[in-house]
Amino acid sequence: MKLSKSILAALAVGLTLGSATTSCQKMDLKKEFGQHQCTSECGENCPNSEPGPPPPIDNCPACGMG
Amino acid sequence: MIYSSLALNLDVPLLQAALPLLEAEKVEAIEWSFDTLFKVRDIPPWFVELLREFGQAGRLVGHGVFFSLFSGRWVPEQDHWLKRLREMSAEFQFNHVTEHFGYMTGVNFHQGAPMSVPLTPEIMALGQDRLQRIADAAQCPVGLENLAFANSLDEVRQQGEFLSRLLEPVNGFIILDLHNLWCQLHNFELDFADLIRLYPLDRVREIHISGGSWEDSGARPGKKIRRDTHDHAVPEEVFALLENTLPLVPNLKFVVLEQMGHSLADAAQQEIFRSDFLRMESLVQSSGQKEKAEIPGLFQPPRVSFPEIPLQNENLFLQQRELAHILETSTNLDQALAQLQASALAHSKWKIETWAPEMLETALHIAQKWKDGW
Repeated sequence: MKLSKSILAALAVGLTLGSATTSCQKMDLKKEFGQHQCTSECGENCPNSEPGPPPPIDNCPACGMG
Repeated sequence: MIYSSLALNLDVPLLQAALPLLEAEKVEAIEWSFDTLFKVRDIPPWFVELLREFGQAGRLVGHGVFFSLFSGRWVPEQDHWLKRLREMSAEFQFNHVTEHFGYMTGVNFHQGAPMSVPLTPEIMALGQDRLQRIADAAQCPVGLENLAFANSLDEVRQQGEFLSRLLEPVNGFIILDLHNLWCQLHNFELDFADLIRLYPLDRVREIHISGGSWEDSGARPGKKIRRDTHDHAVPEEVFALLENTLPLVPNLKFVVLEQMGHSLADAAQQEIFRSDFLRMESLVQSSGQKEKAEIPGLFQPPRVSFPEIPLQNENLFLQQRELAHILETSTNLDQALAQLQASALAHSKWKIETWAPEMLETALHIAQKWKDGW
């Protein structure tokens, strides 16, 4: 499929800058749900409202562990 | 029309390997594992644009990996997964959305080994209930991928029928992963012609090809177990399966090459990856099937209503938890076999008595490798 030059250029720049991460980040929600008790002080960073980025890892088995 | 496609994710080596193919206008569609980035707040705008461009052309497919369709208990993570799928589907125009057959054995969500479940009416109902929720969230056709791992020949031979009945209420389709199929052909010493006829081939809308790895079996000295690890180039045998399968699947729309970024670190590996893609494209072209017209709405899910509270199966949950404990804590195959024989799974629909020892051994390795998640 033909892609616009601007997307391809942005992709090339993004890869050069390394602003991508791995495809295989675990959706590590077990640490967030049920373990954090919300309080009146919970704000934007409350783990029960919106997950934050996990550390990048590789070799995610879900992509091919069978 | 059959699109030669790449599984593309936010992964530097993978995107570096794919960039020349994108620049050469070779990639006709992309598959994105949308749930691998649920936790990332800021996806780079250039990646979002890439997804949007393919989505607007009807050439973006979503591939989930973390839902764990057959977990006996419904957990908050599954609610969250559906919520995010609904949001992602509104933001990007998925042509279809898929998940995997089976469940993860881990005591906690998203850990352990991917396994099948017994084909019983109760378990079928559980899977159908969850598929309906996925279809409702995605608002597009939904499908399931065949599993690579199997404990027994019965599981292998039953998977096609299981998938067919499971997908019926949502009018769903199958991703036929040919490397997964090859794992089963090799591990259970089956012929392609005997196994492929057990699948509802008119339900195949997508094909995957990939590479994998070998593991020596201790339970059967001299036997090598094929594992679906996506960390090598596509084997000759899988290309041969693709060539043999293309004429058999009349409703095929996407053929997707998958490989993990960590196995594409150097230029030589990236070159082989591109070569694999071009060979896949060539096989699609020469099949004579590429330009055939699609039947409109063929896999469109019907409007269905389902209970507000998701189905659960406590007995299945307890069996899954017991199996997970055995797989994760047994120090060797003999201990695992003894524990299984003394467990609630013995003489049950799980048919553990028919499990191949070398596959149980493989399940132990996988479960213990990933018991703490990834």
